[in-house]
Amino acid sequence: MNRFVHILFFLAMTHIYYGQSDTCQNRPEDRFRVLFLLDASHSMGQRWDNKPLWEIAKKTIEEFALFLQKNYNVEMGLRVYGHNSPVSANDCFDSKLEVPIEENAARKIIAKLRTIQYKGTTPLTYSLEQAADDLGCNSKKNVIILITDGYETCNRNPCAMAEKLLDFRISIKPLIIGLNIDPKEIQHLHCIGDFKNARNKEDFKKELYNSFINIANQRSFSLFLQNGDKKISETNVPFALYNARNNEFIAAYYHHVGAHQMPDTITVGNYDSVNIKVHCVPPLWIHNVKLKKYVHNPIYVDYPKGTLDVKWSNNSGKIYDNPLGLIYRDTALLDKFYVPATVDILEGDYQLALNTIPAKFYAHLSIKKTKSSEIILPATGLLNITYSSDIYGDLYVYNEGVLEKCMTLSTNKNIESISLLPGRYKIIYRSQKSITIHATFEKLFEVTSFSIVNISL
Amino acid sequence: MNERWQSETKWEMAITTLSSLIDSFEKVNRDFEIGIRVLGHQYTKNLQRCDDSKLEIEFSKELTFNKVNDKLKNIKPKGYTPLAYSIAESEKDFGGDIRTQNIVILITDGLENCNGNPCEVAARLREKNIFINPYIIGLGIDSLESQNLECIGKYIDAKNKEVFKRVVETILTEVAVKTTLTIQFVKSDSSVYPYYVPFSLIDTRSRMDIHNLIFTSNTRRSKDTININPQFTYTMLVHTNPPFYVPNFTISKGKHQHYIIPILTGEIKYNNPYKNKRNQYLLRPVDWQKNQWHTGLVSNMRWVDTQMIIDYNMHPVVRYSKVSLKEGSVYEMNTIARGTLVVKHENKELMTLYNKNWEKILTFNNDIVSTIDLATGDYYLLFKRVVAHSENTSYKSVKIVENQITNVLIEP
Repeated sequence: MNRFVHILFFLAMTHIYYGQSDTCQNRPEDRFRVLFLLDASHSMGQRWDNKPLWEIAKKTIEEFALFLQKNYNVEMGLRVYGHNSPVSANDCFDSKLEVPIEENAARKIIAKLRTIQYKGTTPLTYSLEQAADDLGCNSKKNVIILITDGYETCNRNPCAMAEKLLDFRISIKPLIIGLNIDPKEIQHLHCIGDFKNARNKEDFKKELYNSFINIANQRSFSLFLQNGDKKISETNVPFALYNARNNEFIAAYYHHVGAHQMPDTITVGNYDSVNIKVHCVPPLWIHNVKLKKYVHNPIYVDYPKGTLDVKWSNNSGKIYDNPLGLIYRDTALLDKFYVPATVDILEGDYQLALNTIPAKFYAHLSIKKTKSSEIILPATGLLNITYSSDIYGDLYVYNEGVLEKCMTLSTNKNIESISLLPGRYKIIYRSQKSITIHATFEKLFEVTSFSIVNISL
Repeated sequence: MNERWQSETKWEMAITTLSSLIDSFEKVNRDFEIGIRVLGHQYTKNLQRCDDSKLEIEFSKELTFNKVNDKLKNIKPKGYTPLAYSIAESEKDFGGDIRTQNIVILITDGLENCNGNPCEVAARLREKNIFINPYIIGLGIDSLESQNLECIGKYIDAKNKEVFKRVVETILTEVAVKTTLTIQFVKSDSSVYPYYVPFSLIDTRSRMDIHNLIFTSNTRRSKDTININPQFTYTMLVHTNPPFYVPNFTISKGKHQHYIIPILTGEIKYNNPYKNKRNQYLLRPVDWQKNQWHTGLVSNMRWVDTQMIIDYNMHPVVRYSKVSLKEGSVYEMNTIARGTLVVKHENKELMTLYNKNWEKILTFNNDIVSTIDLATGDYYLLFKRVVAHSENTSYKSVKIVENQITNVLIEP
């Protein structure tokens, strides 16, 4: 009998999903990839100083492309829409990548522009959609510069498309230079990106150059808060940025780690070094973080965080009061919170005070990174005191069998409600009018979670 | 007990002697209540009843010769001697008031014959502070046997009627001597401390508070003599802020003692025109190592000449550092003007409140509406949806005006 050996291969192909394409590897990190999206619709024939907008736009882009090529490490491309079919055709696919994105493309762009005539409609959304393919890869340096004199005329929603682009292809919002856009249409263009409306030739030139220089000068970083495992960053921690040169406040954020376990990219202005204050307990300062121009700056921070979890043992009944917790280190007050709470604390030794009644004090609160320390409080009960006359009196609790004063009772109230932790209590009081020490009285009572004790003095 | 001494039985001798001694004792000592428990009198020996023990005369301040004698003369000794059982029963007889001094005087002519262990029972009740040291009067018990009774308490042998009478008289005289205490609380210049002072006399062994009293400056000296149950050893705890134990405090049994206790305090004043919340301070000496601290509304603070930190629990916490009180001095905390912030948000937002220097004041929880009292001034409210990107973090400027409500709506 023949014996067969069955061999079965399992091939597991893991594909890391980064959107629809690869990142732009093998390119210098400081290289910008600029795609001009140019409106060549019929309305580009309107005139500024007796010149059609189209002529002005062409001329300005020509100069600008040369400027970019000279001053920046840049690849450029050109997509034009509305230039192949007349308005009457209402061609909503009239959009073409005339110059693919590549190095030293200025001359090609200039040459191509000279062959194009404006004539048709404004398929803005479709053009943005195509731009995603034009860019080809996902880069933090992809820049779309949209130059248009009108809004979408093909009944599609360019805002939704812009959001999609931001998710997959670009991390810089598109720059939009509007040419004499109707104020009614302006609000629709804001959602696509960073919108500027130009009223004349000088305006247009200024906005175009400034918009790009602004984003070129922006510096970007991601903050990796590494707690124990070096690969994983903490998320949703608030932090603030300061200019390291003068310690002026720049901005505040919640840190966030997205689906790929990567912290979000944050772009700031032209700051070459920043101080970062992470608002954990105690605040963590990272001083003099250098942000290099034109490249993305990952910042790795050792973040030895543990958590303190203060909660009620039982949530099923009524909690009469949310006591305050105060976290100290020596004499410094570091944080406060309302119970229940989960507090992020850096590894170390702290003191904790809870202003429950009786107050609780934890002299040695030791926090270890990646670990959670729990303090579970038994739910409180309620004590209602009715006063029939003015008294001297105090509330005491039995702490390990010995009376300990919790609080002095009010002298100016008729009735008072106090929420108390479970325990054995005693009220010792005497009338303010009494003249003998023998007029001292006491009431002993027990408080349990959610119980209500009524006492009349 | 039916054994005869001279012309009468031991029983007859005992009841007539006791009746007349109790009669004369009760006439002069109004604070004393006496009760009598009899054992071995209800059932004959052959019934072997080891629970034959009954409180025949209830505790009373007004026992006379006739009341005692009439009740006891009809009782005939006949049964067993359940000593352990009877001692145990005395716990019920005395009741639970720990401020009363309980005294047991056991009169017997025999030993336990019910297999009980009276020594153990007595030790247990001593442990529970029911009584301390019973007196045991033996009526002609031989010295070998009497050793078995000495573990219960103080054993005295009474050989005849005269000795018995003298022994009972001595015991009653001994217990009639009161242990008393007067206390004066004074300032450092010996004048009367002008505030009320609660204090406790605490049993050193069990830590129980036996006497709790409040002294006030209007307490009449003549009336503030405190009768002390001398069966405890006391420490005195004075409930000042913070409390303290009076050093070298001892109570001599059967004596009067007078203590002059200095209390040096200064006053911390805070005139709070807002909500009267409790535990609003966290107050402690700068020397944190001692871990002493104090919360609550404080008027008279005993930490004088001590550098303290006071943290006032509002938002943001107001710190008064380097507070140092002299005796009799007043430290006035300035009132902080406040308003109210009401934040409503519809999503589960992350939300943190900062002051205008971007220092964290408070992290909000998930409540849809949060209301907090804030010191007046400018704040920032930083927020972001949990799932949103960092760059979608937003913040709002918030201005808090005194006694006004500032509403902030965080829109989705």
